[in-house]
Amino acid sequence: MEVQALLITFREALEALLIVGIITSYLKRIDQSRYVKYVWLGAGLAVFASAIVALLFQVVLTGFSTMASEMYLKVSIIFISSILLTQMVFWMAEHSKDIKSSMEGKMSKYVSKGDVFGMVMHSFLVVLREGVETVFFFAAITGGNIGAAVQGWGAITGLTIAAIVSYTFFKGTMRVPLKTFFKVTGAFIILIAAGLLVQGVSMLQDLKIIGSVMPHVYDITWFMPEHPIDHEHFVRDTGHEPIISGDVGIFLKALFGYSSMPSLEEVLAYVGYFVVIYLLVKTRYGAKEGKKEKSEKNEQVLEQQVM
Amino acid sequence: MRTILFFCLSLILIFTSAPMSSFAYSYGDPNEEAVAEAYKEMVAKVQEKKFDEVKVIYETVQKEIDMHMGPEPSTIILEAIENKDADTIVSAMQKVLVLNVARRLENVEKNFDHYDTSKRLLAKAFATYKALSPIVQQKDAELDKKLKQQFDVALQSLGNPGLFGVGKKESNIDQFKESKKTILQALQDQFELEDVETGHFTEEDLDRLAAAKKKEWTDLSDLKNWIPIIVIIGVIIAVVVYAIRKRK
Repeated sequence: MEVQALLITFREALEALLIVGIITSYLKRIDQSRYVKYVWLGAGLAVFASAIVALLFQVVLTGFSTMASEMYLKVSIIFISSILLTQMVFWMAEHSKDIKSSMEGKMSKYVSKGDVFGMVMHSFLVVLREGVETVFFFAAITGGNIGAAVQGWGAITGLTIAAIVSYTFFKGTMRVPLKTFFKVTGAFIILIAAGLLVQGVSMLQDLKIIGSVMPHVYDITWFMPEHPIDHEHFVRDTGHEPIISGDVGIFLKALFGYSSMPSLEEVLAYVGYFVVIYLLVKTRYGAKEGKKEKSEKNEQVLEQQVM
Repeated sequence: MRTILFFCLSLILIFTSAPMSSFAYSYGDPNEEAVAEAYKEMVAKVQEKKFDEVKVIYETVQKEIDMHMGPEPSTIILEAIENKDADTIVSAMQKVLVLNVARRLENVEKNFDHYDTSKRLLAKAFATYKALSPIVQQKDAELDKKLKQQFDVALQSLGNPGLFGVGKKESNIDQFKESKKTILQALQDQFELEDVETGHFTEEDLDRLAAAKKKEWTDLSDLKNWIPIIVIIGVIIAVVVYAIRKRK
């Protein structure tokens, strides 16, 4: 159980720290380090909020009719995260348009209170999402005794390793030219946001809230299952191992929305997301003028996209 | 470069060294049971006399039924579908549902100390009963009420491990066995089964318990299934048109 707890906390913490790390190193690089503490405050509050969520599901919502409520909570968090990350992409695109490619290190940039609030919200939500996932995974590995998993050595070790890995990683990025940093992190965030959108669509389909005209476009479970359970089933049904483990699959699923057997809607939403974001960023920030008055419209379109 | 290498290496190391055992699938509604959902869809299609579709729907759960209840139910049901014998299809599926309640409750008992597992298995049992409930209610409304109440009593009997001592409740296996007996006895009488204690239930059930496999069958005549794809394509077209206009 401790090894499982270690792996869970490592994976969930790493996912959260990658986003929080992007936000904080971003703030550092635009010379706004004083706001970093608020971002960490947001992350800290989210840990606290995760504990409240755990308590709510463990002790209060225990009836048959309320058991599904954890699913609705997850779907809501996923869509809100996706919208906020998309908004962050636009924000970064606007701020990065006048960076010269030769510039390295830091640049001074004004950030408004709204921007800071947005970043704090991002870190809060991403940590909350991973925190809630951790709670449900802990419930699964301990047979419901979540407290036991939190108190063991596995959880704290996983968290420590994740912290070391992401610290080392972001320490390294400080030497990368600013333009490259913007491009790489921007692309990374778009990938995550697209992944979240697809996971949201997938969950709504699993819950049968929305339908599908083609539940499986393809099935590459033989290559890499999206979940350890799918991995086990594949081994049981066929007698041989998939090429890549389901443990890698679930990591890629959580981070980038990987699916080994997506529905047609998932595929279209995924590809469509990149097309829409590319066109909007190009139209909005590629052209020099007439960007302001259209911003509201863009946001409306984005909301529709995510709904 | 070195840090990226270090980052990748540590990822590879951690994901290959210790395979994680199965977690309960987090997706899918815990209050939904595949067999019960298939039953509901099959009844609807039987009424429309679309027997080809009935067969397709049955095949989505056939493997699970064969594995846990043996090959007999499938033989009877597939033959009835072949003969377009609506009554036999429906009544045989109802018997399968009773066996499914028995299988889920049996596994709750075997995993009584694993609260998270037992709770979900019990929810699956209750979801199965809910598909049968209208029939029981028609014959004996009082009994239906009593059975639903027994499921609640069974849920209470699982107790609650609480969180850091908050909300801890002791479990009560005797009370659970009592509820299980009442429920199964009543269902056995109502649906005229000779025996619900079949020996086919396997332990393998457990890691499948919440496995919300995406359904493989979809009803293209249902407009609801077309809405998501229309919305997605609509948004993409809207943005493309907007971008082209803007560029001009």
